[in-house]
Amino acid sequence: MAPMIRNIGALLVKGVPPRDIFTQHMAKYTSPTKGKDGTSHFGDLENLHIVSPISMLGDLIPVLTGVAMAGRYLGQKIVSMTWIGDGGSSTGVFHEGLNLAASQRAAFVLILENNQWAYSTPVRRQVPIENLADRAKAYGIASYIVDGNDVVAMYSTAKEAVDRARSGGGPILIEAKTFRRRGHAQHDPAEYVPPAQREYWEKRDPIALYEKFLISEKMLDARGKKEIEDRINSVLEKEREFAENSPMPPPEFAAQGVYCTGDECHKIRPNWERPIEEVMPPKSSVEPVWTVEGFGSGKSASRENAPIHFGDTQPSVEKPAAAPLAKLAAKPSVRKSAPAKSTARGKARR
Amino acid sequence: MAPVTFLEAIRQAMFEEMAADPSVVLIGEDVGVYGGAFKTSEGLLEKFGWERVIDTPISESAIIGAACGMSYLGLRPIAEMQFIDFIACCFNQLTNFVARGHYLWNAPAPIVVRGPSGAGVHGGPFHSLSPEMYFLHTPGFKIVYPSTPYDAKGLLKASIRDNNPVLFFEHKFLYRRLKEELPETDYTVPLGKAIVRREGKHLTIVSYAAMMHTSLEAAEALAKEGIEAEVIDLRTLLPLDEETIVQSVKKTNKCLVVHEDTKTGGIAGEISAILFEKAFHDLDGPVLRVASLDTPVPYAPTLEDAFLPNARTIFGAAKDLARF
Repeated sequence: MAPMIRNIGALLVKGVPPRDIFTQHMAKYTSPTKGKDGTSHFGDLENLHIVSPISMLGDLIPVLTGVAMAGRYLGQKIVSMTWIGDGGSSTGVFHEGLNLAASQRAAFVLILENNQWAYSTPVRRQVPIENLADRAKAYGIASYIVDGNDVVAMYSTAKEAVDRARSGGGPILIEAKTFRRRGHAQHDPAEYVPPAQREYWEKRDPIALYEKFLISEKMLDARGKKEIEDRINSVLEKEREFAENSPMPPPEFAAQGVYCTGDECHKIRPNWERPIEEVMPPKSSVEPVWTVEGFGSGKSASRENAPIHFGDTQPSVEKPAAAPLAKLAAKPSVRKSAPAKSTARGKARR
Repeated sequence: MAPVTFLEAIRQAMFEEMAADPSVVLIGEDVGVYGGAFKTSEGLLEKFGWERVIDTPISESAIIGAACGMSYLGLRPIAEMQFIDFIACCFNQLTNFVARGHYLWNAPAPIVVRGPSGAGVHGGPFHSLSPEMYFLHTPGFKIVYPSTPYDAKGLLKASIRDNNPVLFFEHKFLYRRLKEELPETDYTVPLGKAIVRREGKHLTIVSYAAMMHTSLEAAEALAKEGIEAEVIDLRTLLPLDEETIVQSVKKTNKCLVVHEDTKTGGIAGEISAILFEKAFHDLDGPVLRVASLDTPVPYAPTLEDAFLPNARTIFGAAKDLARF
């Protein structure tokens, strides 16, 4: 998993202690990067399986595609996940990464947080389409559109996408419609945001909505809420104190750690969950397991476009499309596109 | 064993490492079915299968990103650039992400990025690049640029086993022009170690890759005039083997650096600065540079010949230097 800088929530849920976030921001020696980078630019490959983000948007998409590819190769039943924003979806590597993930049928879930603004540029001036999830059609992969401020809808959609990717369904793009309530960063008062838009979204605070849901479902009451808040506050207080009392890194630390010096520095060994013999000669010469059935049928992924005629290929017999997601279709806040069925992997036709 | 070409040495290194270690995989454009544009991966798909020899779309950033992601799960991917010129397409992925991982967040990326580089085969401005200096300035990489089949095989094996991202440049002029008998047993050539290819006492010529051979040619001509040049082959540009260079110059007191990369910002400037810092009192003359013109690599044979250094220009510069 590779959260981006706006995904501290994902870090906490995954098990990162709040002190890591405090110490990172304060550049302390006790932080995960020991002061070498700030914000949520840190990761933990070994225990929490978190890849660090960098400031250049989109770079994580092929990286997490590679994680999924390696997981499949090693026989691990993993799904990789990363995030991108409406702004980051315009980068070249967004396309390269998603296309590679699609052509490899990688078990990869990409959450596209459409928060309406890339710094000061509204989404309507970044892209000429209403729904960024529509991009998925071009890659022949499945997608969802979900209310990003609805915690329950977000959870069930992500859960379903992960399950689907894990069972070999290929990559999935989830567009979460949401809103960036503050500026791009602390320095930015975001005066460019129209007041009406801000007002609309302020009423849709995801935490407030979730509390309302829990109370209406009788899963939370005023006392329970206070207990949780007190507990969080007391934890945060201790964590903040720890961070504040932590030392800054010693200056000589700046010169250290450019290279991995070998086994005593990092033991790099994959975790095989399948017999190694399967990938070693003579058994290794096997067909790829992720080949898309029915490729060359002449139909586009969405089945909406005109049939494509290659001339030298015979249309294959079409199989009825599976409908793996029927049960969620009743949920009004989630919209799905048809699952990808073909053309995700092509024979070379340049 | 019959002598093998530089190309075959590269192929053998990949083949043997993949046969010995299932965590080694190859990813790139046309590396599988086609066996690579220069056939460096011919036969690998048949032997190791689709899961380990991965044909990709034309997406250099995605190739590097995916290789990096694979390495995070303990694999050792070799990523091929069909021509090294296209490494510019994944510059961001390499310099901002791959190279910084270990320093910033303790995540080494043991990947090898390799591909055919260099001019002299009339490849034109987009198939002839020597891009080493773009990356020499990026902490975190190791940069290898071999000049012989023996070194190519041994250095590539060492690069695959290294825990750091290694940029491995293969000069395509040498691909089919050199043949060498290689040991039958497994061997590596250590990264970061230069080698003295020719001993001499009057001046030191520091070079690497194809220009190393041109430098040797010039050294033979110089010997006929009574000037004995010592020729150092850098083999690895980063980390740079300063010790071998400084030791040689302390003996010869003169140094000429020859490279195919363009002159301004080339490694000759860096070596010159190192010598001024570490061997100033041993120098009897200026550190001279023979390098390509500060232009893109032109296409026409007459222009490309004018662009590149040759044995004659090296000879001339060495003669000038010997007079000091």
